[in-house]
Amino acid sequence: MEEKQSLNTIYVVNGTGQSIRLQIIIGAIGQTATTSITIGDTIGGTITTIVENFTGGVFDDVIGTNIGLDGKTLSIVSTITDTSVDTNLTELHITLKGGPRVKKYPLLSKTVEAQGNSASYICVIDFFKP
Amino acid sequence: MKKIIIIIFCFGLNISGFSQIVQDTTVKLNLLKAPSSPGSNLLGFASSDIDKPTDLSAFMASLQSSTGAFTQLPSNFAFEIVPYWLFKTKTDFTTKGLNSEKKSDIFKQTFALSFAIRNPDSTNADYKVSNTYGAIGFKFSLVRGKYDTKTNETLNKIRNLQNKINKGIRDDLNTLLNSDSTFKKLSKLRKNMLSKFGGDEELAGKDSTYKAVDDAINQLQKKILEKPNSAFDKINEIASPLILNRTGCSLDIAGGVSGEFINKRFDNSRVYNAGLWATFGHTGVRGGSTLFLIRYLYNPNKIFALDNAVNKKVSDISTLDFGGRYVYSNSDSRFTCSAEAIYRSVLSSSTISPSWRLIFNADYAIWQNQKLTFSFGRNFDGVVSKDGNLVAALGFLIGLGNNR
Repeated sequence: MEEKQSLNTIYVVNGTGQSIRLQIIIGAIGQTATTSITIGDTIGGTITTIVENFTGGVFDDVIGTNIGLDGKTLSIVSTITDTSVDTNLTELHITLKGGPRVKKYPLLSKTVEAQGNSASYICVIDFFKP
Repeated sequence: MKKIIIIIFCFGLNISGFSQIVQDTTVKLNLLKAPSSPGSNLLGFASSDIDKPTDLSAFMASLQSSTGAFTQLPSNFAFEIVPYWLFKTKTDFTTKGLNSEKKSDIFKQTFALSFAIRNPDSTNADYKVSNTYGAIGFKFSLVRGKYDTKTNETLNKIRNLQNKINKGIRDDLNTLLNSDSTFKKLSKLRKNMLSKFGGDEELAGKDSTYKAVDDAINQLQKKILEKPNSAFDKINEIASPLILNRTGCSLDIAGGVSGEFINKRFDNSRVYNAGLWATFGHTGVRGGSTLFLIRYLYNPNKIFALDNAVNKKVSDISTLDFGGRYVYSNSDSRFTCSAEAIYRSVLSSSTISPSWRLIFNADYAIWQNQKLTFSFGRNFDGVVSKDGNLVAALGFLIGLGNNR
């Protein structure tokens, strides 16, 4: 499996008020992670912080609506450290729901060399109504 | 006279090997511990032969390989899964979540299922070549200690450093997203191209130009991660020797059962062997730890109550063994001690008597390389043993006293 730590893509939204839900799952079992999630408005130049210094392994929450997120950019930055004795794998699973399609993004992962090593991840998703 | 006695006493401390009967240290309490993968271990699979897939696609690939693309049962195959991780449920498996005290979290994070199938060949005398063997096992925890203070402090340091790294990356990312003209032009171009495909990303992804623009955007973003950061080395210094120690109570349950399918027929089977293990433990903050183990085995390969004699499986045998251990060891104290007891029995036979063993050890560090030691034990055969240089010194002093 190809290992990837960065993703930049588009999530198509519609013009409705339906909520968009973001789910992030961090692994593997026993790792330690810190994540920040922001939504940027490139036109207005404002950045809204959804969560900063999040140290858990599961994030599952509504981040906006289809119409509200159109034209905005979701940025996820996470650093995962290998604190597990059983594996050197670090990984990030991202799913978006609420738009026309449920999008489960290709796995971001990196197998570090040894316990104590870390890997950082960037995921940028542009919300776009064609 | 007193000085002479003290000198002789100190000399006596250095005499080693002046002991009574040496204790048998071959039988250890750890023998009663649950296997890491009960279902697989019941059929004799080594830990290195057990497949442990962590995602569904790897699991399906492994199954496909062992079953010849799902056309037959695997010949010899063992695997263990953690269902709540494999199916990506909303259970936190990072160190933050693994420190949870909620019973439901503890169960979901520790619940594992193991499966095994064996079609033996003639080299393995424990099984019949004409039969097929299958096993299923489980393990989970109901109670789990919390990370100790030192572990929590280290994890918090790691998280603070991770936050610093993230902040640096976010700053660089914001610069790229908002100020890099090439990046902004490529992003706009990608959106316009997607519009031409009616918003269908799959269709757009097949277009080579769209793909090239998308790749260029991703290459620019990827460069942010190539920037060196000394915080990674700082994290490595504190995280590489980290051991996630816990204090408090623990309760672990494990079990498994295997079946023997006669002449490889599913409608003609019997239980081959089974096991049930329970482990209770407590680790104190100041260095004391307690462990109790109970093990029930049905048709084990070796009979513990008969000094691990091979079970020829002429008739069904059930065994019940339990044991306990207390250890006190504190890096700030010169004194350490431990006590261990094991009881073993065969439930299904009145001709094999149960037996028990007790060992007590204590030592006190007088100087860096000088220890006062004492041990006392009763073996399974009823023989009492004493050992250690304190026993030798006391015996020597008592001799001096008698002479007076």
